[in-house]
Amino acid sequence: MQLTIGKLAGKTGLSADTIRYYEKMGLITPLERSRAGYRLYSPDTARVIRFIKGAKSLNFTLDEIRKLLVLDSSDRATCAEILKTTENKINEAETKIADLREIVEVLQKLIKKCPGDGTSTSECPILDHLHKSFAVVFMLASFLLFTPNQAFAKPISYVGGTMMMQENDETGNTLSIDYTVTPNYAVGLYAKRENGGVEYNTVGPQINTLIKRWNLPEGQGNIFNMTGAGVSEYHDTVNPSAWTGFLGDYETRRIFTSYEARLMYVNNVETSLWQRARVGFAPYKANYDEINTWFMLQADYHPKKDGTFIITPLVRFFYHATLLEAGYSSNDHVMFNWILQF
Amino acid sequence: MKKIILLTTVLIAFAGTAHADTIKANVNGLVCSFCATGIEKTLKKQSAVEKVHVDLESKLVTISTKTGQNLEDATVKKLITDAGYSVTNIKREK
Repeated sequence: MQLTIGKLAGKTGLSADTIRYYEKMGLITPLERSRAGYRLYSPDTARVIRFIKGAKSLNFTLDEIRKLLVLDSSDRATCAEILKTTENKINEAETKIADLREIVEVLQKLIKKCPGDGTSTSECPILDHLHKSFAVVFMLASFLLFTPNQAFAKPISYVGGTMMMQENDETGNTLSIDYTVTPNYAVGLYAKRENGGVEYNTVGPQINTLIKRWNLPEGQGNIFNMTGAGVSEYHDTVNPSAWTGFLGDYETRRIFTSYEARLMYVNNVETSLWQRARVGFAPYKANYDEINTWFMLQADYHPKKDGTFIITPLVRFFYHATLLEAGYSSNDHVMFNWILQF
Repeated sequence: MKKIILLTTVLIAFAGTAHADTIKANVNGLVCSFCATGIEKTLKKQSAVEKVHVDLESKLVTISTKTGQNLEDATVKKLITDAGYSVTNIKREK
């Protein structure tokens, strides 16, 4: 006996909207449509929805649940694959527990500082701490909003030129600002909220060097080095950190290729090598006063993440000194980057 | 009469020098307009420069100087090099 969406909703306790959303997300599929065009579901769909509800109560995301359902219905899937997904979930939950424990510790320290009497709120140590925390976040956010990124564009512009870049993707959020001092050197500030395995925030000065440039009639090739040192905040501890990266690129008016490797060292936290490669093509040859369009494919490899390549198809637009990029990665992260030169 | 001749000669001589130059520089590496904005920004900072035109198709940077002002070849070459490109040839038109 096939079920209409109303009956399925009644059986599972979900709203019709939620059922349609699960369908849109690829978790369930109606068996067929009635002559009047209504969705008709198999009675087994109620079992699938109960599975989804159970997995959601264990904090699995809809994307993870979809993968579990695929494994559940596959003849070739093994218990080992389910085990891996579950172990990842346990690690995630343990990280959250550790974070919550730290929050409890901080709050307990604050409670101890509070006199708890008729002292004016202007002298309240708890409010004072929150104001200071907000100020730090605000400063970091302001800094991040006014900075450029080395990972997707040339880190040196023109003598006397300033470049601000921001990059948001599956590796985290990067912001930087560079000032080009000579044709071969730029100095700047670099900040990144790292999400490539271990999560931490880094900020520090960076020097960018143009090691070699080939200016050819039909193309340009470059090799750059970006080296910096600063501090990284990890679980409320501040650790010294240092990084160095090499970026090579070659482009014509129709073809683009680049490769970057960056070594990151954060004392007591991690030492990692992150790699990124890009290929792209322009569907038309845009001239100087026209909007340029590029289609690109980016591959990221961060061994600390999960040892797999992350592929991001993206589109790049630029007009004069403004560049925008948007993409969507194979691990379901939206990418959005921008650069301004002035 | 002599004064008139002298004045006319001076005016003609002045008119002869009070022209604007058009400098055309062939540039290698000129493939990306986003990067090439540096050329325009660098050249426009010069007080002698009236107008800059970058053409990726012909790989040509055309500079128009202000009337009576000039930009030496060596200066043009240095400014474009500072912006990250290589100059292969410079031509001038009066």
